[in-house]
Amino acid sequence: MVRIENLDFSYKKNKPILKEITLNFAKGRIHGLLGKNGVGKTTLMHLIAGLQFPVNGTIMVEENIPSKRNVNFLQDLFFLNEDMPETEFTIDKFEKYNSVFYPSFSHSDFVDYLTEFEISDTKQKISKLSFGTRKKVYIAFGLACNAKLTLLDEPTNGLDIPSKSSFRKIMQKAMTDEKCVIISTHQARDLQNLLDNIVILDETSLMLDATTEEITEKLWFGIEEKVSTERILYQEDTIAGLATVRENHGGEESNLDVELLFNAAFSNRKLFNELFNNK
Amino acid sequence: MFSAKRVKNLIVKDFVSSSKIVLTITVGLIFLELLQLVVPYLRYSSYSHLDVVWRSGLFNVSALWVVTVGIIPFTEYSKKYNRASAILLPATQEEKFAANFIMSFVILPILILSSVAIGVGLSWVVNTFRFESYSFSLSSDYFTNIDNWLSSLFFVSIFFFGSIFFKKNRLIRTIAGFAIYGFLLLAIVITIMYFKQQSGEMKDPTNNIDIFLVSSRIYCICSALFFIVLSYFRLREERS
Repeated sequence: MVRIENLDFSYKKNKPILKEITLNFAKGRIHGLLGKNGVGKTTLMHLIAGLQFPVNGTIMVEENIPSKRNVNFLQDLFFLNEDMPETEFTIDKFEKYNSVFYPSFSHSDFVDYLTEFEISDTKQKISKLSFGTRKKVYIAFGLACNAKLTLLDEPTNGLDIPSKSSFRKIMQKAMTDEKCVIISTHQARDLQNLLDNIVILDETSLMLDATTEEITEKLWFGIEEKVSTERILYQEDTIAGLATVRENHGGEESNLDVELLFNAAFSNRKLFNELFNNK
Repeated sequence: MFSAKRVKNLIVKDFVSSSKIVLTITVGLIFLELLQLVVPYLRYSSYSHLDVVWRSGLFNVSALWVVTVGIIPFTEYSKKYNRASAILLPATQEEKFAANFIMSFVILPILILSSVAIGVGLSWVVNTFRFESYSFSLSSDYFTNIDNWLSSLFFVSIFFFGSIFFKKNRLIRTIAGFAIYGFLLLAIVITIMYFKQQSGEMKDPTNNIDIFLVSSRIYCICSALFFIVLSYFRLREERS
């Protein structure tokens, strides 16, 4: 769906943000884009959306070049920025005047998603809503657009606990084999059961691009009682014991913990790169 | 590829989202015309007949047209958090430009002219009640003078460009930019005229008034086209 080849990007000369990034985002999957602050997650999303133009390299979204801002491409794209747009519209007016631009927009989906988020009064002015509620309105609208490519930058930021759970439900409901969703987040635990593929950016380059199955094939996540000397990537003291990420020797089953994975990636880079073939 | 329907949808969306400011301008202008045509004649209340020749209203139209074009078009691009959604709204760059162009060069002047007409109509009603005989005539000098329209077009095109070029305080920055530009232009013209006069090429400037008039008209048209085309390219390069 999204093919990125040898992408270089910088806002200022001699200060690269992204360097020689080659990456694919497949259809039918929800991709998690992780990385420390300032590594270029949002910039990468802006480049995929065509909000910024690459310095070198190419980005293709199906047959479209995002920087051309072709109308067919835009009709199949929804991008929710972390900083949401300001509008004086009420929810129903916002839907009325914006949905006409999206041929696959579904009013019933929009109502369903709002209901899931417990928003029933669509006569409310969006600007008067709380940050979290505004975010819910935009998420509901974005998913109701049924765009092939949805980019969400920190979608769960500002959502309360029940809303995070509603968000996961809605995402699962909205997902089809034809869609590709890329979520940039620091709230890794909120979304870990939702993600099919994980991409970790480090400084200017790519540290990991793997499916959750590939990750749990190679790494074991769990609680151990004592400090192990095996090929450990990361250990952290918890009340239950030592939360551990180690190499998965015998194909043991374990549940992916995205936060531990992220810490493992940065605390033992050498072994991490060895395991994931320097991807 | 170009869709008139999408242009219409863009205009409607922009118009409704700017409805507060549009309403303020409309009501304000109606009120201004009423004030201009009713208040000055309050002191003639003992008169039974009054003849009024109205001139200033059309200047209001031009001035307000320039100011509103500095505020209304490309509003979403000027707001930091709205820029991305404006760029990614599914319409071609040409359609987005056309929508803003139509709003600035067709809808706004019509709206402003209509407000003036309503204001004048209301004041006519008020004055007709006050005076036994009230005659109102529209001075067509301003309206029929092509130079007034060309200079309006020139100013509007600059403010149209300023509204996409500047992000913060668009109107103030455009006025400041235009003041500097105007000052430099005037300095160049005066310098050229001075040296031409010194060299004897231009003995009496009043003899060259026709050339000056024609060249200023050509300048207005070319500048307006230049700034309109420049606005289009600025829109194409817009990033978030």
